[in-house]
Amino acid sequence: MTHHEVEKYSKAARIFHWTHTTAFVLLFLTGLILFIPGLGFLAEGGITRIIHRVAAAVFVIIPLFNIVFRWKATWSGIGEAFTWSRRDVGWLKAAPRFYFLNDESTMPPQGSMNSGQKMWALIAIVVGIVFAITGGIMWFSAETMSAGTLQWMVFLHDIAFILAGTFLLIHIYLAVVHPLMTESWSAMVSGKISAEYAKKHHSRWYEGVSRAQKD
Amino acid sequence: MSKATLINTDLCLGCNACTVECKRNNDLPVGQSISWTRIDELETGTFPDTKTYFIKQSCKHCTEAACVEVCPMGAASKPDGVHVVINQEECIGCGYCAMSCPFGTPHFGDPKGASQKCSYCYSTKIDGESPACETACPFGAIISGERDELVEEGRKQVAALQAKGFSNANLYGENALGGLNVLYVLADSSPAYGLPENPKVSTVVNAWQKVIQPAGLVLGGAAIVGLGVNYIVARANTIKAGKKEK
Repeated sequence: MTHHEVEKYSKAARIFHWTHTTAFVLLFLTGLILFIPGLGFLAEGGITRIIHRVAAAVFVIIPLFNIVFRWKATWSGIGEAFTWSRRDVGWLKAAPRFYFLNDESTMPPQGSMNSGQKMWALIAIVVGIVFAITGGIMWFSAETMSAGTLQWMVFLHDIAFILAGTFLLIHIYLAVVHPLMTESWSAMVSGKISAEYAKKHHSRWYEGVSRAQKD
Repeated sequence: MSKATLINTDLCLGCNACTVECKRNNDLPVGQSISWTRIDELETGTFPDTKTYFIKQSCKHCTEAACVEVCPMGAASKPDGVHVVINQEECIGCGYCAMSCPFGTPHFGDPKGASQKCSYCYSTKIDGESPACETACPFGAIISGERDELVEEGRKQVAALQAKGFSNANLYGENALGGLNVLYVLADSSPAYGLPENPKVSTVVNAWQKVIQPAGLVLGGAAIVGLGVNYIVARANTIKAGKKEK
């Protein structure tokens, strides 16, 4: 089947996504040991402490690069993630029927990010900032901060971990495993999705893109 | 059995014999990076009316021990039910104990990253009886014994100090954090010795093992189960829809 393809994610967007993902997954796995003490053998010799910190540096620096060099894209992405309307409520209501029963009839048309992806983007931004601040304080100010402050940093870092970790599982599942999400993986790998898939899952975005191409 | 230690700061000259013997007995490297016990020298007042206090600082072996409550790996525990020992093999160096301890005791100087603190000479007691510091002190400032008896003794020493004119003398740690197993006879108020007046373990510390860790596992587990169920249902419905199209 030959099909017309459209660019969903630019090369810069994909590089940002995958470097940040690599850092995040490393941070997640090294942090996970605190929740599953049975994995303690992996941390032998304090190696996960070093991995966690190197990954943390990447995790903070990459978005800063993104803000500086992809200012417009970053800003519009943030704008999209934080703009919620009635359409998103409709999506949330329709989502179970779609994701379980393959019934898209009640699904409102979606933009570049559907409401679920927006939710993840929003959580990733908020939680990322919480991680960076609380982690930074624990890393650099352990000697100067009061014990009470540090204890709250640990607490918030761990709440953020649970939230981010759970959503990371869902994100990976939807991108790679879910039977209907056939092209989201290739969208982030090759950058392209079929026009068919775009029309079906991101119709509002697709309309905008095809209109811009005609102009 | 509740073996504790009483330290009379008024008898301490800051000679560091305890530090030396601690390092020798527990095979710790020379230098400041790892110090299971140390002597702090604190000056109070303004010149020329100053006083210098010495205090042997080390783990207080709290009855309600924050480090034991918070350690995600269960590496900080009380193998004898009283004294807190950090299992160096199990510790992964996350630092939660250091951030939770009201006294700031655990520290990280070991290149392998394990948390360091006094083990009450857990497996290295001299004559199977006394911690190394006690045997080393030339002035008998450190004595170990049954906790109840030490509390009695401490009160007597405090009374003696007060009689000598140290009006702020007090016994530190009798009731704090469920009772410390390293008690101090102080000649002055606790802040003058760098000890918190009212040491506390906050709720967030106690919440770690009891709430956060299980909540994380439950939520993560529920997500995995939920996604698995979704996969089975969605797959079946996708196949059904595919057949209809044909």
